[in-house]
Amino acid sequence: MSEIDMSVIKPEMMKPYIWLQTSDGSIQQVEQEIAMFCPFICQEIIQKGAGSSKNCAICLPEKVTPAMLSLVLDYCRFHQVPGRSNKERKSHDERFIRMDTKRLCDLTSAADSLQLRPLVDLTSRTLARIIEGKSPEEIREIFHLPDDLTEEEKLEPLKNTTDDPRIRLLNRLYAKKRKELKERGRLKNAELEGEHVDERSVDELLSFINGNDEDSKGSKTSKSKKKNRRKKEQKKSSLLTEASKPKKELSGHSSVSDKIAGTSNNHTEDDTFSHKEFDDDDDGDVDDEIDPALQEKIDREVEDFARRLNSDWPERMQEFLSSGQERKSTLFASNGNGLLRRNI
Amino acid sequence: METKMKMKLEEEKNTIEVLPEECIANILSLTNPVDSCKFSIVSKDFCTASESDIVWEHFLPSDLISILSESQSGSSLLATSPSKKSLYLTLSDNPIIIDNGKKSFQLEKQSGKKIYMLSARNLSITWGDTPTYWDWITLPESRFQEVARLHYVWWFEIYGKINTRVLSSNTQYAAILVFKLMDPRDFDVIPVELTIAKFEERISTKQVWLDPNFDKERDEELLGLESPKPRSDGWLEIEIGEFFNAGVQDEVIQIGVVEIKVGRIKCGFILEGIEIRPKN
Repeated sequence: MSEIDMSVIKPEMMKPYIWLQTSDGSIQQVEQEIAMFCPFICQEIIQKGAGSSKNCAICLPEKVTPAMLSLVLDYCRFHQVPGRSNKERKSHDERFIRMDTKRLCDLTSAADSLQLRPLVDLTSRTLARIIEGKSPEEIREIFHLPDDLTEEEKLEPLKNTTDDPRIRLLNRLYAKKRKELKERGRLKNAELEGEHVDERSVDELLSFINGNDEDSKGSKTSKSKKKNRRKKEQKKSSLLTEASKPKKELSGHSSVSDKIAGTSNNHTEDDTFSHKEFDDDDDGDVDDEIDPALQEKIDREVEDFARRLNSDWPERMQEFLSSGQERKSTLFASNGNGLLRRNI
Repeated sequence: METKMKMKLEEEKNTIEVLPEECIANILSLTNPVDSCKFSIVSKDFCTASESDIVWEHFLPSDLISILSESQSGSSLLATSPSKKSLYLTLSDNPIIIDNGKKSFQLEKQSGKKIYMLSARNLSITWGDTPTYWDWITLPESRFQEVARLHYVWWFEIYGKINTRVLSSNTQYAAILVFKLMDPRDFDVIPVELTIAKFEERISTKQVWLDPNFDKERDEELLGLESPKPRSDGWLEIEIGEFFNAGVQDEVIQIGVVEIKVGRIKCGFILEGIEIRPKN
């Protein structure tokens, strides 16, 4: 139907009831006065002349289920009565929104699609009160949200407009973590494609490490197939790259190096974990077996990392500086073990 | 096990994911800046929503555009900020100079409330225009073009005022004296009186020593008195007093730093300004 003359509409608008069709296809009759409180319905009636009979019932947006429509109409029924005081309205609203979080979300969605602004504001304020001050993990639990950001996306570099040395440190750590994730990804791809690693680069690294008074990794010959050995050397080169970095940075600021070494210490433990798996498995394709377990560990570590880094600014700094102190004491002990393990 | 998984997936579908990004952004805008940043790692939807201008527009002061467009650095900041979030972060990290160099403006990171600093030029310093007593110099560590340097004076009197109209409403504010001491030999023996007044009526008054190294042990009376603390920008600060801005009506707050009772010369004082910022 094209635009309808207002004079034609008028008698139609006198009808007390209109027809609404909800998302599930069912149609119901609703008092027109109440339904018109929703701008969406109002528009549909005025602009399209819909709703006057069962055949041309107003199709409500998909988010409006019968249950939600009923709630919305309850809200409208109360508020469209003009004589109520602000106090009355407020106490009604406070009782009205007492429902579980899921229903609140659904109601927000339904009200939003019906363009019923006051109800959207009410439910949004309630939801805001619920999430305020909670940690990201708690939020995910309350709303059953998937943790669908990649580690890389979570490690967005911070803007360092004041050139704060702590922010520079954090960004460096982020970059290091991102690099490591990339490295893992690259290794994974390389393994899948059967890439060859240049032997020379490994030797160069070996001599570099040797020159720095570390135990020689040795030319480890394994009894396994060639493919395995190549994989091992690839893994080794990534481990060695990790190891060489802290050496360089140790020459710098002591607290900086503690933290960086501390973090890389964690990584090497992960790598040695996977290294062990390599040793155990004689077959070529070990990818699928390692990844879930290792992935979970990485996920948890990054989640913890990101959680700590994304919490309140002063708290974050406090936590970070204090964990840096802790790591300092364990660093030399486990570093020794880590090195030994890598030498297997 | 499988049916459990299926049910969980169905459950997962029917929660906050039904909300469009704008709704999530709207909800976030009703929380606070710290939470909004934190929640960017909850999920993809939250991440996009937390970057949205809807959220940060809400945290920025409503009169921000009129404040910034008065100054050159402010207008260029407005023009070059890629998003409201970046505008918020820039303003809360660094002060910008407004009002022809007379004031600086900044946002408190946690809350988005306004912070001002009145430069020395924006204050009334008795004898400030007489070069024998005070002169005006440029220091690299100052955010302002000029700071006031005291040569010597008997009548040490500095006054500032601010209209609550420009401040964030419903906030407890503190006025802070920002200064340096070149030679504390006078200010470590002479206490200075700090006052806050509203409509000529005193709200608070206190006596402090401006010398941070001042030896409190010397005299029992002096033990409870405050001493200045160092700031991150290299200056010293001491709280002059507090006042509450309801934001209902315009009020002029008068701030005073005075020492005129002891008949001794005072010298070695450099004035950066008076900062007005929210108190905890």
